[in-house]
Amino acid sequence: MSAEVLSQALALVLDPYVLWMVVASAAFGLFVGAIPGLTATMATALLVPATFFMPPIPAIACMVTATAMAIFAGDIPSCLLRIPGTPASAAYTDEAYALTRKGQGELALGSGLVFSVIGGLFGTVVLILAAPILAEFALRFSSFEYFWLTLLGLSCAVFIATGDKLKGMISLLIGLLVSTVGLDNPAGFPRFTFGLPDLMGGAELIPIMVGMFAVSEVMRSTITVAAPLETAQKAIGNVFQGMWALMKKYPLQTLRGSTLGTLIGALPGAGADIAAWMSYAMSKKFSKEPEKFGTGHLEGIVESGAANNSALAGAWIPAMVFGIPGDSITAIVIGVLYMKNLNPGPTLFVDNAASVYAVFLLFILANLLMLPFGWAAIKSFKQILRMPRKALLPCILVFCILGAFAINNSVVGVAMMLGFGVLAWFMEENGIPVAPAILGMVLGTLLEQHFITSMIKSEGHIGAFFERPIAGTLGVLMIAVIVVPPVLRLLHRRRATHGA
Amino acid sequence: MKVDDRILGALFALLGVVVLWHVQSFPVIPGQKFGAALFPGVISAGLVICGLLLGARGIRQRAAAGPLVAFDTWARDPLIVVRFLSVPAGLLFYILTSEFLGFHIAASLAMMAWLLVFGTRPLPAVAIAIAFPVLMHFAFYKLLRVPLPWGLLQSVVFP
Repeated sequence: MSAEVLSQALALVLDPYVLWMVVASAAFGLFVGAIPGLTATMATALLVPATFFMPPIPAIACMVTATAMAIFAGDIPSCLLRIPGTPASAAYTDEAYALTRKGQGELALGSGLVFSVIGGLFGTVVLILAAPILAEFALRFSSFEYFWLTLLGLSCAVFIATGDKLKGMISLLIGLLVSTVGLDNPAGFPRFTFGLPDLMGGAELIPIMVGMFAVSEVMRSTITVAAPLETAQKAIGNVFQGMWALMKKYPLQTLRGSTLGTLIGALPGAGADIAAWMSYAMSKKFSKEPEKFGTGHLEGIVESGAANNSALAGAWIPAMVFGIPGDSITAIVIGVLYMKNLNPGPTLFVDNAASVYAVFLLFILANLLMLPFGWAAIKSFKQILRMPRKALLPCILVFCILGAFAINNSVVGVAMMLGFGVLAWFMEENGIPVAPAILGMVLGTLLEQHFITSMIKSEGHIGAFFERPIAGTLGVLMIAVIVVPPVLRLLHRRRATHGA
Repeated sequence: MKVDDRILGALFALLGVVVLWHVQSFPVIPGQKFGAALFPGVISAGLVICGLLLGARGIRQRAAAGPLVAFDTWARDPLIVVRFLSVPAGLLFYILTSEFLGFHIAASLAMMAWLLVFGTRPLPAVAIAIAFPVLMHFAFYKLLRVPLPWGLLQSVVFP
């Protein structure tokens, strides 16, 4: 990175307007994350209408800061109420609450905060190191490589990131089907527009995501809206006490959690919540004292607390380099980047290097700010809880209406939001994951374009997809992702029956 | 609301069949193998296959399965059901009436209903339902220049 680009990026970030946005969105993210039922993805979806009319850098600043803060803030109600503030904290909610019950709430909150910062910074470093290298590599990619890469991203979402693969596949197919709406296809023929001019340009993603992540979440929250929330510990002391000792005690766990988190984040379709679950399980598996897990043991909180925040930065790697979102949050971010003419892809790193480095700097800034802001959020959690959810939810709904309306100044956007909100609620009720559908919607159009372009280039010769070295490798990898897991399972089962 | 895999599978397969049937009407570009129908066709064929597989799995696990459609325990509490349904109902109300009533009136009425149903006392409910849309008006109409529909208020504001 050249000094000139860095100074340009610094100038972009240190603009007072950007810094104000960082502060405001930090407070917003902490608030949303700390309130049970409001998630980090919802925070991003709610920010979209506010970012419509901002220049690109402050818009990105809002999203980066708000999500980092929200993922940490989800730990606060985990510790004090035994309700995860966001799904990313669910993996260690019982553990953290057990600590609070023992009168060690400070330790649980402190480790959540400090190791969130460490994990977030680790993920950022990986993002800074890996993204430009990958981008340079990706500059040589043609439509063949992009076709495989997109397909690989979609398969990851189904075959690696979800429990029920059949339902994951159905979710993906629904998303892909939605992506085919509109004129944007090889024949320029209006597909599935139902005669609505609003659908000619395709199904607008932002109202759909506001529906799937905000409206469906509000619908779920209505069930518990009247239940009073009581914190388990009244006064909270110094949360930073004992943190240095923890860092010295669990360096390997911190590193392992951050690494796994970044990787899971970078994997399309899996985000902070899956990263936390996986690294909590990993921590227990490799721990010297696994019997202490579940009784208020800090080891798992340290590892998975670092993992969920590192996943946030990890998800930006494929998002910026290939335009393939690493999680639901970056799926929304990619939509915003397109609106701001900062189309993700390797050329972004060449044409707009200053913006790319500004994103890196914003990640560092957001994670460092998490220490003072997170501390303040812990201290004022009781005041945050006093904000009645029964008054908050209607305000959120009106805000959703405005966001969905403003994208095209059309009430069709609001209708799309409602339809997909109900659909997402129904899907989650029935164990159909939502993430593959989102990925399908974002990537479907690209997949079709890359396929058609490739086919025109090769004059309809399918073998061309394996002829170029990188494309061929990606193709084989793609087939391996689908074929290897069932084969392994079969071998495992055979060995099990053989041994028995 | 938990719907059994047998019904879910059948629904998705049916959706696939309908789309598959519909894309047959898409025009073919002469001299080109890959037209507008290819991708939706492949996707809907996939939906049919996955739907059938899901249905078959549901039938295999029939012994363990419960009723075809099961509701959670909260569905027995009418107040919670009303709260839950008020979200889609209020949004639908807004969609249908916002052109005629305008943003301010439609949003205020929807908010008022939500606030009362969720358990806010009447006086604060009225205050919030009026104040919040006005606040949003300043943020979106004035600041961000989003053309929110005036509806009934059109003749009052621009006589």
